[in-house]
Amino acid sequence: MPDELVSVTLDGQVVQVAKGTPIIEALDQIGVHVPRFCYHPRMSAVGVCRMCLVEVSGPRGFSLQPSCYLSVAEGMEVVTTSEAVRKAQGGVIEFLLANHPLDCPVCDKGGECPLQDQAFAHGAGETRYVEEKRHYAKPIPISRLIKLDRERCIQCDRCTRFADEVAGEALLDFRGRGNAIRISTFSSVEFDSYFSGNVTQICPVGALTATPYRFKARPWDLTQSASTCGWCSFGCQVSVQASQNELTRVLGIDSDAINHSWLCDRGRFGISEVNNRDSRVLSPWLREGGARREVSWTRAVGAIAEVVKQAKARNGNASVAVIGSGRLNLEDSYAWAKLALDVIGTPLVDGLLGQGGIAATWFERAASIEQALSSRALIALNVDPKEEVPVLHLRLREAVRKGLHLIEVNSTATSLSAMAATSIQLSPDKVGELAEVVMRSVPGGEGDVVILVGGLNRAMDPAVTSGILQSLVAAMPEAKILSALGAANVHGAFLAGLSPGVLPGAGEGALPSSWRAPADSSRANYANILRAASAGEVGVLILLDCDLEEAGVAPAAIEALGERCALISLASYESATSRASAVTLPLATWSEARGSMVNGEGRMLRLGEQLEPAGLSKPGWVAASLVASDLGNDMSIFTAGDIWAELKTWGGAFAGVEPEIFNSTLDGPLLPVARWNAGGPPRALDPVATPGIASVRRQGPDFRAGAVLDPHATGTGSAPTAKVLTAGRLAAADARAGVSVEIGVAGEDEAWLVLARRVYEADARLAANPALASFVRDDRVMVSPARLARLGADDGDRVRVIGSVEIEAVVHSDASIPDWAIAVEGRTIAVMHLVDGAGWSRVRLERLNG
Amino acid sequence: MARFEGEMLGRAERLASLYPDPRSAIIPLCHLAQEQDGYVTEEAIAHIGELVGATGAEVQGTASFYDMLKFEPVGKYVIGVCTNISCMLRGGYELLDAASNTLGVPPGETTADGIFTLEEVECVAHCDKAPAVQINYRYFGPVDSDAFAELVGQLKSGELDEQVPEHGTLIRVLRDAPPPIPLEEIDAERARQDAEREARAASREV
Ligand code: SF4
Ligand code: SF4
Ligand code: FES
Ligand code: FES
Repeated sequence: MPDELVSVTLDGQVVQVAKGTPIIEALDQIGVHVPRFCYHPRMSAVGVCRMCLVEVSGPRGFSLQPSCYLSVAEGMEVVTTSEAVRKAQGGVIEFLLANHPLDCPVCDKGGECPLQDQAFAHGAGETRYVEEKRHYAKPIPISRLIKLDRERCIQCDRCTRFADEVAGEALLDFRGRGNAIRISTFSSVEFDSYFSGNVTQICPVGALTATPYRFKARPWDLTQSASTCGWCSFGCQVSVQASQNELTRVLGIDSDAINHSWLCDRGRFGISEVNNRDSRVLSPWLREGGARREVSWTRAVGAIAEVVKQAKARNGNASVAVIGSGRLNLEDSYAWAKLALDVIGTPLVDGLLGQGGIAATWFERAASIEQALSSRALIALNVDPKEEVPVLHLRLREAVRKGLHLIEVNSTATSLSAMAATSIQLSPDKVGELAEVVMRSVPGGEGDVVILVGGLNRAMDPAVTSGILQSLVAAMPEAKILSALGAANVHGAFLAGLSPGVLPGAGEGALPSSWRAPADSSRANYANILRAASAGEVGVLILLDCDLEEAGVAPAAIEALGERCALISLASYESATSRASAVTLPLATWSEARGSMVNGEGRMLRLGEQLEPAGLSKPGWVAASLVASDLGNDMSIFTAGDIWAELKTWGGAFAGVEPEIFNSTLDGPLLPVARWNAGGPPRALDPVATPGIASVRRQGPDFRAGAVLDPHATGTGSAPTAKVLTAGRLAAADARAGVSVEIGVAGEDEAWLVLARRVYEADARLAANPALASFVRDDRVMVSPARLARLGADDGDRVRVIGSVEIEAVVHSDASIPDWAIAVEGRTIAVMHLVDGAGWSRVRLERLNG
Repeated sequence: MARFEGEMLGRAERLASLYPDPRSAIIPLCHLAQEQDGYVTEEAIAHIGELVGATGAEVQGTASFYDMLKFEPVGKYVIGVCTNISCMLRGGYELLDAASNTLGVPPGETTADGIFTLEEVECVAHCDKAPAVQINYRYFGPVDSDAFAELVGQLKSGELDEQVPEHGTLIRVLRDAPPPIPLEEIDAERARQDAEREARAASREV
């Protein structure tokens, strides 16, 4: 329905504006910038700072009104340039500065501060104020990540509105009244939110600052580039800012399609691990005679080529296997897919840790975030957005408030439960009937049904989720899917051909001329590969930025694996896997190489570059190309542009993909480009909404328009040569198996494990992050009161959880945990080893004495 | 004792259930907490949050707007001496000094025995009896330094117990609210009054 328009006169200009538009936005649309503090385009108007006063016509003539709070009305006249407006602006600035410390020279906001900028533009230039100003203790840590300087606060209500309205965690509020009003947490309760960093981004003064950024740099010394957050697959748009080859901070860009300017703390403060050189793999390592030694790239690459050749000579192509984690960017994934499938020719490739079946079902019916949030019903399957793709949680809260019908299908309560219209339990004995039960709760009416699928319960094989997804799709053939599979570029890895049974593009494209005959990987699967490797059937196991310990393999088992076959790892961070490897290649990490990724809606997004790769690291595609050369086939990949040229030849998802696509949209295009409208042109961002983007020096291509991915990209690709059988339709083995996936049987006194993913899990990366490492919770076991009674234990006792490994933790009773389940909370890395791979893991409890 | 327990918990729950949105009960519950402990303790704030579904920060934010809610321990008697214009003209500042001497604490503080807290207050609308003193929100005036010393004596000896209850006590007789009047009855009464008004207006026009 087109918006109803009203006609208004803004500074003498007659314009048509959608009814209900706040005056400030109507003025923005015609390029008239009214000064502002409390107004934020993604939060409701409160009209508290009075900085946006303009003269508005009314029944009794013109009067000063807050333009953020008042909506346009037919025939309204607005004047922003009169003497009255000028005086009002000067007055408000003088009032705000009355108690402001004016310590700009030592304030982190100095140089990008809306108060500073607007005082210069609209203030008197001199102060009449001689009295003593307010004093508070400062800075006050309101959390481990944020410090508060109360003297600088102008009471704009942005941080408090964010906490309450956007995040739904009102842990920050005003306190006191009048002159004594101040921002405050309660007692010793931390502002502990996955989204806390956003308040430092929207605070229009230097009152709230992010502890890791404090006193790190002045804004004008920073350089920035447009990029995409690399910590989950939601694909939040960011400006990544650096100084002296060190990342200083990340700010959210207001992308209409994705993150509405918000970020989660995992993404925002992820830079602390990138900067932590001590935990990075800085040079190639080679294990010789038991000892690990730093070697040159040439040595390391030569050694890899040698073991690959030997293994192939001994036992054929299938003696080499490749496992990835969805963390490589698109270019790297493509190059490694080509190396594995075509140059080495191995059918054992799984770059998705077993999630290929889900991805295959997803891409054919991918829904955009917008479609999911405006659907008739959103069915959330095995997913807790707050823990897996955090910013989607914020978007969802808003959508539910506006009437989105949410159906939750999870094993235990999640952040969705309070919002869902229906919660359906995902229990091991009901997997077969699930689709039918879900169908019954879908309301009739117009519009799409969208399934949001994730990997919440680590203890449940992705194949089980995939099976349920298939049955849902079979029952609702029109349903679309939005994927929340966690790793940043897992969807890109799928489309690049790093997934079982898929070739690049996942469509029916042509084989580029530089390819020979890719192996058929449709029978590969992470769990099977691992089993084969443990059984000694694989000679070389290549791990692409994948720490097996994090994936659930205990360190002892990784070491055993290293003795049975040659472990080759490509890694940015040291981990149990890199340490057990025969050869480790240092991989350039996030912000160290330009590239692209694909998010859970199938949107292609740019990854910017701000750093020199640490130590001797190189982009993953370079490593692939070097290994290929040593194997006698250089793959014809010499620049990232060569990869793009090939991608286009493959067609399918990549039909029509040109490096220039990033120039034409702010958000990046949904794939395949041909099927979707490429989206609107770049939008101007409100400089006061996210201070610090407009004020920072831009190096390289224009920031807002997006960077040309690779200036050297040229070739249009060769003509189609051969038709190949590819695509999601070739489907991964588990997808074909449908719901009959074996989930196993629980033995006596065994229960099904629920090990929900969390934002903060103690993997090698989080451990390397000084800002976030302390957020990992202690392990706890949650069981139903009945199970606790059967166990003869009391709430708070210590118990032993026995599965594929044993861990000890405190047990609690929780009435929301079903009796068939044992939920393990807390994320020390040992907990992850309880997952035994196939089906649905089961564990048993034992009470510890004393 | 800081969280509500026993009979107090019953009263708290009843208060929270009185409103369509339990958050509306934040202020009455703060009064209840003050009645229990003499001031609003942190434990009470947390408990109120649980009862009405708000965070501690929100309850604290709402409550701290009001001067009559205290967040630090205060004396059994909170004595306010007015120094606003009428009282000032009639010796309010002198009275404040005298009060300070009598009690041995400056304004804003509590005596060591925890019985009196002295405050300087703005007009408490007792101007006709200036200079005015309020004790636990009960009014006295005009008060001079001798009268003030006498008041303090009477408070100590318990002579004024009937008139001035302990700080935090708002009401000593609890009454149940009458049963709610059915909406239809209210509508009918409104309609009747409207009709009467119209009839009156019509008769004037004639
Ligand atoms: S701390 Fe910053 S965002 Fe919060 S009210 Fe103060 S000025 Fe506004
Ligand atoms: S939601 Fe995901 S993409 Fe967005 S900031 Fe968080 S980790 Fe990054
Ligand atoms: S009152 Fe309009 S921006 Fe603050
Ligand atoms: S001026 Fe003191 S009571 Fe009014």
